[in-house]
Amino acid sequence: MKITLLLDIENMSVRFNTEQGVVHACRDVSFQLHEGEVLGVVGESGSGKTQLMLSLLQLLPENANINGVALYSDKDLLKLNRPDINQVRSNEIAMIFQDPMSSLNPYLKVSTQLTETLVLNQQIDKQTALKKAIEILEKVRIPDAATRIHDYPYQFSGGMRQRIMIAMALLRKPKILIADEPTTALDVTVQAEILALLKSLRDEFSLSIIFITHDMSIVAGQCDRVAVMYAGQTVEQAILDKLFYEPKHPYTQGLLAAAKSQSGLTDNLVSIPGQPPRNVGVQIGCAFYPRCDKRLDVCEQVTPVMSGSDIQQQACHLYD
Amino acid sequence: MIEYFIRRLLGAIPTIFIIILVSFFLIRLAPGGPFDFDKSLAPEIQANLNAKFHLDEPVYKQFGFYLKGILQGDFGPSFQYKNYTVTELIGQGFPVSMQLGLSAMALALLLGSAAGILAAYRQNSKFDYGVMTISMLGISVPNFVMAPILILLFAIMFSIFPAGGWNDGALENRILPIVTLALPQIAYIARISRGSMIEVLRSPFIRTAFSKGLPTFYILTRHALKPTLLPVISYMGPAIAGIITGSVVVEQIYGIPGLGRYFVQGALNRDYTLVMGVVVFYGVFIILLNLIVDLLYGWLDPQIRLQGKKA
Amino acid sequence: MSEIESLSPRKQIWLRLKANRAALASMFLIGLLMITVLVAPWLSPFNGEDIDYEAIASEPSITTGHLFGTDSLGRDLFVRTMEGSRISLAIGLVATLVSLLIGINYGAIAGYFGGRVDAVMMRIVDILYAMPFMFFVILLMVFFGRNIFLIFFAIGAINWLDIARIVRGQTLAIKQQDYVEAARIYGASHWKIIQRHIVPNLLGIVVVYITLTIPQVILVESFLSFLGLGIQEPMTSLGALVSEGANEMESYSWTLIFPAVFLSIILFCFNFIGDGLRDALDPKQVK
Repeated sequence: MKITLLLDIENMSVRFNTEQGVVHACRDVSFQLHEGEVLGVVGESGSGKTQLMLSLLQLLPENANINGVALYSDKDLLKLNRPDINQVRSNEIAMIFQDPMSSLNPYLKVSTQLTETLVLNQQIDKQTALKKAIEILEKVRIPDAATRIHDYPYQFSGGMRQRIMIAMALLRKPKILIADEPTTALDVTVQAEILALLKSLRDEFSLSIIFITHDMSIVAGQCDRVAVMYAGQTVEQAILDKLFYEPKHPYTQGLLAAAKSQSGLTDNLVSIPGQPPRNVGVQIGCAFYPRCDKRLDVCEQVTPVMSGSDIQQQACHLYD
Repeated sequence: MIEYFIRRLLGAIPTIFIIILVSFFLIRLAPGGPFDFDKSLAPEIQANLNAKFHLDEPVYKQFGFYLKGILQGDFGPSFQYKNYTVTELIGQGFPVSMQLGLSAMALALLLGSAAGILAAYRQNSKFDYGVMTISMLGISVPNFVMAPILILLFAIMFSIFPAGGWNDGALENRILPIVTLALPQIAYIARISRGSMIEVLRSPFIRTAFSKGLPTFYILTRHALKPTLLPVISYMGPAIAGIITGSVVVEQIYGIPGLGRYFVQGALNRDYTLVMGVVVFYGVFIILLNLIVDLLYGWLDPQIRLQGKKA
Repeated sequence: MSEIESLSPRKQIWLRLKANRAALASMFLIGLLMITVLVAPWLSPFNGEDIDYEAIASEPSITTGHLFGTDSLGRDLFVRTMEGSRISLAIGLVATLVSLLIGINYGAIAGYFGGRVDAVMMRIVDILYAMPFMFFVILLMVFFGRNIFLIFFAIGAINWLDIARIVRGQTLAIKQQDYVEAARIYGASHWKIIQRHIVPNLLGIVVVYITLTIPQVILVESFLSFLGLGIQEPMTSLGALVSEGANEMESYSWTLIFPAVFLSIILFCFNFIGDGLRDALDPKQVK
């Protein structure tokens, strides 16, 4: 069975010009998203995951400098003009964000925020748009959708607001959904509900999902393939089983060890010693060098490149 | 919303009370004032004063009479214009000041918000720096400096407008005073709306709006405008106070027969009752307007307007 | 991978301030102005009261020696403007200090004791905020005469509300800190705690406040003087000079322009400096 390649990111770098110098949010990142798959993007805060996704839809501020190629449907997303990128934002790639309270406009009714894209970009009339919006709210299990759609965001709980965001995305029938830590700001029980919801909607809406998270247990439950990012670079990419059972990059191993210890499967709490780097200035050698317990001398001088197969690749001198 | 309104109202009442109280005592304590009885007065005059101001009653009762008088709109007789009551003078001066003030406020709101919003949209551009610098000028240069300069330019050097006078409200006479009154407020409002817009444009929900592929103009008007203008509306209270204070000078310089000018003349001529009356009148006016602004704000913010309707 | 050294907060503030060219230019200008104002009258052969009968209402010229010209009574405008600037600046400083004293103490007490005391004190501030202070000041001037101390006090009393609020907020925050707890356990008196721990942390905010309040105070004083309710002769302030100038501007426009320009420059510069300081101390605040 041939699996279609939907999104092909190649050698993308994102740089910001700030007072303290040039900040490299992403360096030389490459990965692919195939049709129907869920790609997990894992990393600590500051690993550049959000910046990368925002740059795909040209949502970064003007002082951002983006290089590389992001191919979708034979078009480079990074070079599209305004009307074309708006078209992509509206109908092809949808994004949901981390904090549903601040991501919804507190001064507009939920009905407005749901129907506006349909009315403006897809030229659907207001009544039909409203009907569709109510239907989708019912799909994401908002009780009493027909009445509550006219409420304001603050009148909903955190979990319900995230459902509304999901509804807002699905209503546009996108091919790709980018979920940026959708459950991080929610209670644990609500987290589980939202994740279950996403899973059930996946098939119904034929979605391909990029799931950004720092929580390995979520990755285990949701993803088909995983890309691990550190200090703005991809350090390992693999299918789920390979990543969890045979992690190759020391950082991935560290993450998994920490996750296992957190869930109480071992006695001590394990964490990776040290701090993530500040990403300012040019980097020589492996970014993980200061914190790596398996490092070699060559790691300090030569930047490792990704090597391996489609099933598993890593950027580490241990496997050169 | 009702709760919000009642709370605000209850807050306003002690303030008004205090203004009246302070005014009452100030006028009684003023050396050389109408209640300074160092020199002994002829008995009939003393008796007259006693009767009129209830001076033989205890102080708190005197205050009661004063308060009652105010509530009925009676501020007493004017000291300089012997045939007029203060209430009549206020009645003459206030409508004129009101017209100027309203026009100035409207001008400030429109021009200020427009300038501020555009500057925010083109942040750090030459236009932005221009707006910020000119607004700094508007805030720094006092109106009694600006007015003579404007008169010098537009009435004396280039005779476009008359140098002063009300002329029954003729349009050409209004322009310079209204502009002078409005300038500092245009500056403040421009700064506030600019700062507000910049912050709104950075907020997550605007990013969400862009991520949905909505047109920019739609996002600016439908999503960003209201949260941007809310702080401007909050500023309306101090703005009104500023315009009223400004009117004192502006009416003096342009020779406009408004309440501000009556106040200054009264101050210079020791017309105690008039000065008191204007202070109380304007004080109550400002507080009531602040109440209205608060209500407007409450109505516009859904969280306040629909208080108590959470699911 | 190179780690960039994080600069100390003080250094960062200084750098940000240096980058703000408007603020820097303003500081330079104000410094220059203050020196001029203090020194210049000694350099001029005239003083502000003598009448030069040969040069009544004369234009500025180098030949007569009257650099700014003379007013309608023949007094040298240059010296008068310098004296007026001095008085205006002095009032600005003193009244601001009065405000500061009242405000800091009020705010610190409210924030430190918290609870009921705080609630009542802040309610009073709320009520006072809504009142048209300027009118009350004019009232005071009318009723009690134009005493210079009264002016200092009245103007100072207008502005203390803002600083009181800010100080109260800071005090509440600092109060929660551990080292204050420790001091209390060791038996330090309330007053000592306020002085030793809370006040030093307010330094930055206080400096910003001072630079922003001085122009406001000068403005109020000029306003009063302009109306004829402020400084009495023979002292003069920029406001009074502008008032005189405005009356004569049709014939002798320089009597208006010089004091007006000086007043505007002073206010303009202080505002820019205050703005710059505020940005330097808290860059997250939207500029």
